[in-house]
Amino acid sequence: MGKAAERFVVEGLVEQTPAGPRLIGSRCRGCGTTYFPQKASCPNPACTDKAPVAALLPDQGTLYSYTVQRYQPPPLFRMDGWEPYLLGLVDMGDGLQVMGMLTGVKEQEVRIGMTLQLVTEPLYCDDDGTAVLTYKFTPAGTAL
Amino acid sequence: MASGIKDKVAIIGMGCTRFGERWEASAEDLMVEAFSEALADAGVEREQIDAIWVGNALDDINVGNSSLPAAHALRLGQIPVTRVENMCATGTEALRGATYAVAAGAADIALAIGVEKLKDTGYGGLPLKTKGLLNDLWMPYGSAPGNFAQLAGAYCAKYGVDPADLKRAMAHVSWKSHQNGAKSPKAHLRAAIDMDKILNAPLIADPLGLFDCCGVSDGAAAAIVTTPEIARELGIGNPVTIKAIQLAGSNGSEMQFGEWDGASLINTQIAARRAYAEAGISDPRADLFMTEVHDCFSVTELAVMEDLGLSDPGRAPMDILDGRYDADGAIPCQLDGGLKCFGHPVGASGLRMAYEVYNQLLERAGERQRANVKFGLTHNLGGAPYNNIAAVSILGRKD
Repeated sequence: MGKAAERFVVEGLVEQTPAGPRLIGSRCRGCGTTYFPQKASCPNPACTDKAPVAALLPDQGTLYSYTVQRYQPPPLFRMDGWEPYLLGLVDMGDGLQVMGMLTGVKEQEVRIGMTLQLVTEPLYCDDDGTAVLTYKFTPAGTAL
Repeated sequence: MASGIKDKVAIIGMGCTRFGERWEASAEDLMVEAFSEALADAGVEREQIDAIWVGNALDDINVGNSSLPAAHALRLGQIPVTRVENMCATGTEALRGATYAVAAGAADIALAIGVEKLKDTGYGGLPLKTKGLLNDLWMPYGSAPGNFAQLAGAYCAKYGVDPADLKRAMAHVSWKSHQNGAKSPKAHLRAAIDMDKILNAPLIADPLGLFDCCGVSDGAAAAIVTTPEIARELGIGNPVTIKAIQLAGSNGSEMQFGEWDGASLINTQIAARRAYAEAGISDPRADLFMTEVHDCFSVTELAVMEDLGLSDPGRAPMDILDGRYDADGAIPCQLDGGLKCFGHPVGASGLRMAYEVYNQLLERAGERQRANVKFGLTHNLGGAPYNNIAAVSILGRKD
């Protein structure tokens, strides 16, 4: 039996590398600004090059702040087996922050400033049986 | 800096519906209700209105696209009518459009009206419309409470505040607003709430509990503006005037290329600074008599007290617990109960705030009236802490 079909919630969000998943951002060759998600053009008006290229973001970041999302957001949000989840703002360096779910950590163990590792996990199973994945962050050193 | 709009435009009439679960009223009914009160207050005929700015943020829910729902509802002549949308600053944006039209001489009398009817969406909170990488699904994991709640953690980390102390200050914010809202006939949630109940309420997004979150409501509010000269001709010698309206919008710096601390609202700081300059206010702590701020969540109001320059950085929790922003405090905040008690019909909120300041300035605020109010400030924050539009307006009297 083959591996069950998988896809990400949206194309162009995450790249699975041999060393693990990485978020796909854009880095402008002109002004160096890093964006996430990807940008087709660099919106910095001071930038004359306007040539962002896909760039993998670091696979680790630092927790800036967090909360527990205790009610299920309305559609378009979709998640199988919904239960409250940790949601954090993660500093990825270069002035870039990314918000994402936290996993593999209890609320009592979360500390602002902790190092987090990017991982992927299923969010829901599509109608055709495809597992739909999203990115999450987990305490560094605990990712499988 | 541009010379600004200080005292160039007067508000001669305002109206505000009862906010709440208005199952019996359509969006059109709500607009008519607010407009009728404003028209009677101004003492002008509907034919005298030269232009309309209508604010509505979520056009796909009830109100409908474009400015035409307002033109139909109010049965005004075929005059210029414009719909504006600027997230939760939409109501103030409508007032800004009407104000600028009068200041420019393009209209003698203009109407700003904001409306939203949200209670029959079938879910709590606001709809998620996060636009991202080619479709809407990539980051719909947050929510309004989930986004704003993270101010709290970052605030505690930045200033070394014990989360339990922050929670008490946040609870005081909501306690105070409910005390005030209980005296507001048009508020949605009109009950004083015990501190213990606030502190022990179910969590929505940690550390925000149920009473740290504002309500969701239906409502509309309206303002009729003109020049002070025309106001005088209409028999209003010392009208309420607009001293300042300033906006500041995120450009991505918070999450992409700046040094944001996650604990403050940069655009609110900038818009407030500009508004004080436009109004000629050098010391807001001495000159402001009241504020109506965007308390979508208690922690937002707490951070805003610092961003408006009313509390020193790191001091807002102590100032709040000292009662500085209570109804009988030095600079009362949310004398009408705020978003906490009125709820937040998005397009109407900015004008609802102005309605309270207007009534305080005219000494019509009933049992909420503060003595000798000379200036009042309204503040809206549209979006999330990391990506938002801030609107700050200041109202006073002409003389």
